[in-house]
Amino acid sequence: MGYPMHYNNTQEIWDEMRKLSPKFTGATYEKIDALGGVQWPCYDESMDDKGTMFLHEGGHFATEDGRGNLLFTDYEPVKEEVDEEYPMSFCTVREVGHYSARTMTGNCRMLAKLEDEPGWVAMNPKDCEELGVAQGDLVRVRSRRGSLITRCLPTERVKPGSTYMTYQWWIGACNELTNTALDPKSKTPEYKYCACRVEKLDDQAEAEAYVQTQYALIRSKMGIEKAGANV
Amino acid sequence: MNRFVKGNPLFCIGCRTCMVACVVAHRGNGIFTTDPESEDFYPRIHVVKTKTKTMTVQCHQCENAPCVKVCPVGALEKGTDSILMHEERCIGCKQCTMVCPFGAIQMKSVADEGTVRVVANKCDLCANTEEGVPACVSHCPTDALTFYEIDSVQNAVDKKNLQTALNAWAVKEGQV
Repeated sequence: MGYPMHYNNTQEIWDEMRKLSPKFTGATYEKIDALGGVQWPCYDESMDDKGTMFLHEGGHFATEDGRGNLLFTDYEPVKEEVDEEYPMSFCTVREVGHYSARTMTGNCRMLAKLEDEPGWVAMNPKDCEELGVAQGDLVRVRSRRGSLITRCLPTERVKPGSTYMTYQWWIGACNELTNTALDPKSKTPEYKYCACRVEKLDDQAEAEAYVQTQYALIRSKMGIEKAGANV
Repeated sequence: MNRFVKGNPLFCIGCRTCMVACVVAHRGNGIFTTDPESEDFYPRIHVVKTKTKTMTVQCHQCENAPCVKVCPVGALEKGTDSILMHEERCIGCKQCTMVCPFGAIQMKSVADEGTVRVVANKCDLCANTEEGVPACVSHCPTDALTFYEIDSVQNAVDKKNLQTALNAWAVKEGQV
């Protein structure tokens, strides 16, 4: 944004940040290397200060009377329950090995080999059997907000009547389906529960072709050049 | 005794870093500059996830290896401290894949002078890699994998013998 700066390496950037943050001034590169990590607060640069494993030790809190305030909120039911039209619940979780919208991890070969578009919708094997879909089959998942195409993943990790997807995908973009109802206090959308319907796709070849072209289209719009393409 | 790698189910978190480490170690750093579409993914160690459990499965470098017994062309043979796999001899008959009780051997496609061959893919304890020591072991973030070298088994047994004997005396001398 125009501010003139020059750093020779990341350590210089980190050293500047540490010196401005008393709570982790003690987390030097050397200490992090030696200990494998430093739990902050860590105030002192010397090796005597190895960081803080437990906060509020001895029951001391940063409040007027030194006591911790425990608050609770009343239970509020989810805003969209399952019904006949959308009979399965839908939740979103995090993919191990990919981060957020995959703008970086999506271009990491090995991580892409582990998991790639269009992602998976995890379903109980009984529900998969009833629907007539097998692992890897492309399916359409619909909600009142939208729909997407992704692969079926039968797994005992999901109980019958429930589904979940991971939110890293562009084609299997699960937030096309999630609810926009906001929490009254925090204004966070209700991402973690809504109603959906899973539909079997009879023409798997057509669906596969669709996924390929969509992926190529998105990648070209993002300006991604394949490493080795010009070799 | 052969050296071997073994996983500890208590520490395995199912992250699959071992699978990635295996592929990268055998492929070498050239993997990061080639066309991603051209790269295959054939790890020699596998992570299995069930509803409540995750665990690695890999070659045990068996002392009386069934894979060696059934190989018709000697592509699998007993080495000094491991079971060796000579990919160039493999005809892809798949007998080793079928006979291994762990499913540790799987088949892979390899490019070979303009053609493609399908051969058995088996753990070589990273002998044919730059590092020379099992990459899965060194990369596991929870130390769930251990490389048991020569004498590991005998040492473990000796320790247990000693402890048992000491415990027996402790009981006799009223210390327990």
